[in-house]
Amino acid sequence: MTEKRNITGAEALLLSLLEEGVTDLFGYPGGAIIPLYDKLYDYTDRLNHILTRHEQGAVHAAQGYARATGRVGVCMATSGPGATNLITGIADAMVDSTPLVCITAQVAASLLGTDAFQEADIISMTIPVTKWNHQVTSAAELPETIAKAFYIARTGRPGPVVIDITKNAQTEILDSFVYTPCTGLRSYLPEPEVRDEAVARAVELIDASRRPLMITGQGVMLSGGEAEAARLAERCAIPVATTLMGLSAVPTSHPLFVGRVGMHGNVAANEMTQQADLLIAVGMRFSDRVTGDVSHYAPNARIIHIDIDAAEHGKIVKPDVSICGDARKALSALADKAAPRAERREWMETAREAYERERRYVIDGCISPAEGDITMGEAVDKVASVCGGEAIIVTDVGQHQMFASRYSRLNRPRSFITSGGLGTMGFGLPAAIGAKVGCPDREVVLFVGDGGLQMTVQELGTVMQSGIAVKIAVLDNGYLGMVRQWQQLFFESRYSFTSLADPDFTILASAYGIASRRVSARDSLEEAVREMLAHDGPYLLDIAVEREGNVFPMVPAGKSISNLIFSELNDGQ
Amino acid sequence: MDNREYTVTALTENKIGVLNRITAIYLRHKINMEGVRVIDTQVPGVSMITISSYGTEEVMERIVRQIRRIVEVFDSRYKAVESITPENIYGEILSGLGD
Ligand SMILES: Cc1ncc(C[n+]2csc(CCOP(=O)(O)OP(=O)(O)O)c2C)c(N)n1
Ligand SMILES: [Mg+2]
Repeated sequence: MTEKRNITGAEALLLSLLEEGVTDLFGYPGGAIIPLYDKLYDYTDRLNHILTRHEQGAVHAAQGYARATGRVGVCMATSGPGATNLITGIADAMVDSTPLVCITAQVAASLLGTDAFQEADIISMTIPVTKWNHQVTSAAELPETIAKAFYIARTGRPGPVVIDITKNAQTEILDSFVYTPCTGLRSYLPEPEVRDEAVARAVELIDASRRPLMITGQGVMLSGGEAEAARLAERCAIPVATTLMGLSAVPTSHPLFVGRVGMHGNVAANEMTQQADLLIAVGMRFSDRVTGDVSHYAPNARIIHIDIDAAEHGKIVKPDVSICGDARKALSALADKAAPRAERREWMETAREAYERERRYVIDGCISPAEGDITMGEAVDKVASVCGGEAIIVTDVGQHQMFASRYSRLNRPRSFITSGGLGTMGFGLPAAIGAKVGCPDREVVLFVGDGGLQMTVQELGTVMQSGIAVKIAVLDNGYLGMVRQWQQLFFESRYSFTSLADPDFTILASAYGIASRRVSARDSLEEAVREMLAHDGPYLLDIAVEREGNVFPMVPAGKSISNLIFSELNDGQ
Repeated sequence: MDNREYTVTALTENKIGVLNRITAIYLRHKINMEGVRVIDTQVPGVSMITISSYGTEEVMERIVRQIRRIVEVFDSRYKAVESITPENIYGEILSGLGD
């Protein structure tokens, strides 16, 4: 508890952020938030504020920051259009369980409801996409509200919180500032206790299983349960697959790692889901991109579902055992109690055989083609081999995202940052900025499409002004590639509005003072990637890739995950 | 699954915006609310919200779980309206009176 006398609401807010351990925040000023920015001017020694070029950039940067560091991301915007510009990122953080505190300014309390200049009812607008939101109309409420906001954002299943602060609340004087962190709310039980009976029943299933498969979702990382997941897997010789959001929960080099599940996942992970007699699903939510047609999902498996959010249990699949609680604690209890097992030779042989097939039919041709244009898979593989699994990989949304998820090497947790549930184009560049601000000592490589880059390309200005050393690899196919792929496969190649006339991205980068280069020849690719990574400072590498390459394997939308397709012609059967 | 009339109740902090969060969940499931009522409980600051609507049990289950996720909500439950009969609630007394 700290006490300070006679300060403004704006200062109380900044002191509250400091009390919560905030060191960095992302934002954009405007009329209603000037009092807050005015105070911030005195706090720049303690609070590193990054000025983005659009509020969407600020919120995605806060997301990238939160995802890379595990801390709560903070962003701020003015009232009206400033606040509404945050909504896409807030919705993205909601589905992807990212802890955020978003501060929006609001017109003075006396003007609420009058259609005053730049008044937007951001509280109503963000109800469905926030974990909690609250409007503050007096300075006195600020410290307690901020304490609640951080507590709610980071506990339980994390999520975004919006705090809307009227202009008068920023300027009013608070007689005394006292900060008490929030430690609980009577109506909110963020972390249900892992129940012993549930653990005991899960242990029985694990002990009896001959073909178990663990699927790790992002919840494993959100709970800090990476080591416990590996301990359970190793002790009981359980192969491990991850979801898109769960990538890097287990190193991709782990001998038990069998790849990623889902629409463009790995053959082994998907086929083993169908053959398994037990799924241990940890901190994941059975998204339709993971399950395909649910009625044919994991037909032979009992299911143990571990998730902290009670609303996820039974939402899509009916588990045989539900463990509602913290994933790390649940995994730890299982790893303590399940019987140790020797290597499951035959079951792991299934993984090896599936990988061989995938390598032969898909991977080889994708990452080491003999001729033709550079492929996206090849570019990702080059970056992966040069970085050796140590970089944080950030992606935008589209084909390049799927290639990045398939061919990246990830040795450390929280190293794959992508927009999973919402699939937000424009996420990548600002999220990479946030990740680099949060982890300045790590290499941050962004894979972005030519389409998605142009959705938030103005953030190159943020890279320039704040000197943020992100490496931007544009996988440039001149198409809205993922949509074009669907048009080719399912709409008779009718490429309706998916071809792009792109600017010269290297000239654009130069305009922002960012070093850049375009590469289109296979011979120069590796050297260009090395140059990008060796460069001291931000760098944009425009990689001209095959225009009409496709991502395979693929489970067509709505089909069973047993229906993997391997190419345009072949249905994989 | 067939549509039936259900009553959903939620025990909540009496705070601004909670009812909006609950009704947003109905809107998202495209379920029309037939009746909404908020009453005080014996605990100051705690209210009970009652909503009646038609839907399937599966959807009611999901709605109730999503309502429970609201920070200000202590708990939420649902019941099929047809199960609220005098016999179901006061069965013992009624059968005693019938003798
Ligand atoms: C904001 C937004 N608008 C539209 C889409 C639909 N969409 C998904 S992938 C994609 C194409 C992305 O093109 P590009 O960024 O060039 O990446 P590529 O697929 O070519 O790698 C589109 C339009 C989306 N996900 N997000
Ligand atoms: Mg493209």
